[in-house]
Amino acid sequence: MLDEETISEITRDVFAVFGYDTYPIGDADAANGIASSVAIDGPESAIVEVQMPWNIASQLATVMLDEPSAPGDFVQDLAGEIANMIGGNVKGLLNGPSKLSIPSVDPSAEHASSIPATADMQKTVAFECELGRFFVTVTLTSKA
Amino acid sequence: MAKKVLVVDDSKAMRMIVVRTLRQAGFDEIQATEAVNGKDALTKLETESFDLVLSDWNMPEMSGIELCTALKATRPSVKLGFVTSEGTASMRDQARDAGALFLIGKPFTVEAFQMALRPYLA
Repeated sequence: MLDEETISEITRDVFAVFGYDTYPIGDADAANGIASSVAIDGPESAIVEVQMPWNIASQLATVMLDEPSAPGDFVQDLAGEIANMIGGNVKGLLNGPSKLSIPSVDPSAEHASSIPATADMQKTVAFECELGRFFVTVTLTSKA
Repeated sequence: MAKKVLVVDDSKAMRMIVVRTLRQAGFDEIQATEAVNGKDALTKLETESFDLVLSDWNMPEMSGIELCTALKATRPSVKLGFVTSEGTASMRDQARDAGALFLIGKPFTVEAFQMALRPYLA
């Protein structure tokens, strides 16, 4: 069951890798910022997108590098891996067999609040952590 | 003598996270080498031996399971475990059939690393 609680659990575990606690704060429209996503293709398909202000991704990257700042390509790489980890766990909850894409990253995405016509469900969960607010959106599509 | 680990992942950030977690798990004497996909790993394994290969599954050019299958056929003594965001039952079966020693799911914990890797790195 891919509900807010499940998305929250997966996201919490991912951010724990970086040493940060996260708290879901309910439904919300995602904001502009760096957006990373993975696609899951199978009988049940999904897109998992993570959107966060650049400064959050950048600070997570500096934690990993143990440096005062992080190069932009490393920040994007890290953002992609966050989507990859969440997406990989979402994939395990869907009917398979399915294939997980390589992450794609848009460093300056403008959020468009629209649900694809073919989508069965779209859920955006807003999270707070010490670094600020970020968003995880899961869009599900079942193939007939 | 330091244990040698080959970390295979197309993400530099994830390779760093894996190495960082190895050290947090107490394997701080390891000597880590990085490869960006299965093909790169095979190239490195031609000239250097490693005590353990830690590989992602989903990578461009050559996936982790392709690497594992190739090693089973050509270098069966190489020890390989997966560190991957995907850990379905069928993938675990596939990994075991291909000769992988374990599969650690991402996101992982220090404890998961300790449990899975201690037999090979302690």
